[in-house]
Amino acid sequence: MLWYKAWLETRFRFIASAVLVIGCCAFFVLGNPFILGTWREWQQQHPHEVEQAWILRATGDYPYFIWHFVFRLLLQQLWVLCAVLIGLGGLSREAAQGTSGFTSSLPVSRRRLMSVRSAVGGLEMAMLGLIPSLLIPLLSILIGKPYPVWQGVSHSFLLVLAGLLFFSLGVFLSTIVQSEHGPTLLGVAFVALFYFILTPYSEEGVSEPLWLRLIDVSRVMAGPPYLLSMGAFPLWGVGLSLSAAFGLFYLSVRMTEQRDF
Amino acid sequence: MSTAILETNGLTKHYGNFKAVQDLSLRVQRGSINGFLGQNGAGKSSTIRMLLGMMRPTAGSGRIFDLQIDKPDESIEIRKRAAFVSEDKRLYDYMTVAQIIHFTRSFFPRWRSDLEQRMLREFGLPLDRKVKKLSKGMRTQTALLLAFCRGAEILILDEPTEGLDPVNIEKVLQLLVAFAAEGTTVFFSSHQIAEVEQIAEHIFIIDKGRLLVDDSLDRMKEEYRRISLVFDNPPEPSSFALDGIERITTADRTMSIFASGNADRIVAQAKALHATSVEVLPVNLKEIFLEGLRAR
Repeated sequence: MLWYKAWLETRFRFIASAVLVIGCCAFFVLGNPFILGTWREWQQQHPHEVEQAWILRATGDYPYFIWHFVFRLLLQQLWVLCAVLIGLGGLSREAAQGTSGFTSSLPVSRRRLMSVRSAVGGLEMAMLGLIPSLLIPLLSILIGKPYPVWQGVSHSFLLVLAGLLFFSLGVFLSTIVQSEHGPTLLGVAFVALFYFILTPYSEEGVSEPLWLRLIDVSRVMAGPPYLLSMGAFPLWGVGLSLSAAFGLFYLSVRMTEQRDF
Repeated sequence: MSTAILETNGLTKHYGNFKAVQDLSLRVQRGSINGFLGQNGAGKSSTIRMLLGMMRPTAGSGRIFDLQIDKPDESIEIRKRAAFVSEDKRLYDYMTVAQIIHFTRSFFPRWRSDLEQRMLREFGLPLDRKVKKLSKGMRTQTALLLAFCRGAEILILDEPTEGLDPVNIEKVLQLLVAFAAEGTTVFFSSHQIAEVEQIAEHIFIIDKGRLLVDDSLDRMKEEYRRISLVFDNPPEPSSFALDGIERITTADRTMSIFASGNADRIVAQAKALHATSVEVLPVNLKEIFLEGLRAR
């Protein structure tokens, strides 16, 4: 029944996130002809302006267009925000809401409470990651531009595995900040700051300083535009990101186990 | 053989420099009803939370069913056999009454469905209403149902009747008496001293984290007395250096002695000191509680 409780706690956030993810995918797939048309129009009106390399590439390469907008930028940012928000919760947040007394009186360990809560959240994040991998190929048929399912699945795989770090961040924020809205505000601010710092380096070919490259989970989540072989997968990055996610989660569990409620 | 179901020894809880509970030693007998009294901030809730493993004691130890309260694994075993109602009675706002009953029932194999149906009927709780839309009284009733139906061997209740109307308070008190008659131990805190006096057999009074009174209610009613004395020339309070005197107040020619026992010897001493009038009055629990706090 802890699974049921965790589902009830997160279902609105999950459904809202799913709607946003579906909306984002639909916008970029179904809107592809419109976006390309707008670019062409702009080019005709400004024939002397030099177009950015990624626009030129995205104009003629549909999978690259999808990768750039969906997996590299907007969907990823949306997914990360949802991951942090769905991660928020747990016993510390219940303490702020006043229900920790009831939950703590149940014959269940705090570790199990947190594990079940996180497992449900993790599954929801995986489902949110899977939506684009299935929806994009399906919607692409409608605009007559095929998009390989395996490509979508591969990108979703990276998005979810590397992005679990942000889910753990939500769990961690809920653990260390004992207030109802504090962790939410901090989480949103963190995501905004993270992507604000990364914005100048979001285009291909712009190299990041070393310190940023070390923390740029975003690049790992996106992977390269084409994932044609196992060698193309940033497995080290995924491994490090997953390790950090488990580390944060473990720290949150230990802190919750030690805390008074 | 000891019949204590709950026992603490030197239980202590500090929050930084604040000493919430200090050296608290309690023994609660199986099948008894125990009132746990104290002012706000006296340390009642902290004690209860330590008993249920929600807080770690700074020092001391405690056992329920011979299981250590501060060992996480044993605490889970305690919570399988104990029921708890917290002071604020906050439940999951996003669940309906039916959902939260269904959820709670799944953790307790000895769930009492008969009692669940009876309480639902008597309290008139709406099963399909979300907890967040319940009135304060209904929320308390729901919290009590969720605790009482666990089939627990001990009920640990923090202000169980708070927010209830007098009719429902009476129903709850009668339920507690019925539980005790079946062998369930009841340990409850309350600010409503009349309620405690109505059903409790044993009283614990705590003040500033320290145990002030640990006595059976019957003995307290038998032994505690207010002795009102009138003198032509009131003697110094030190003339009454006798056991059992908790507090002496003098106003004009009248001396009032609050005693926890030994009334006969105090009266004899008053007569020896030429009291012109001696009146020995019984006291109720409220007076014992208030005088106990004033005496400190």
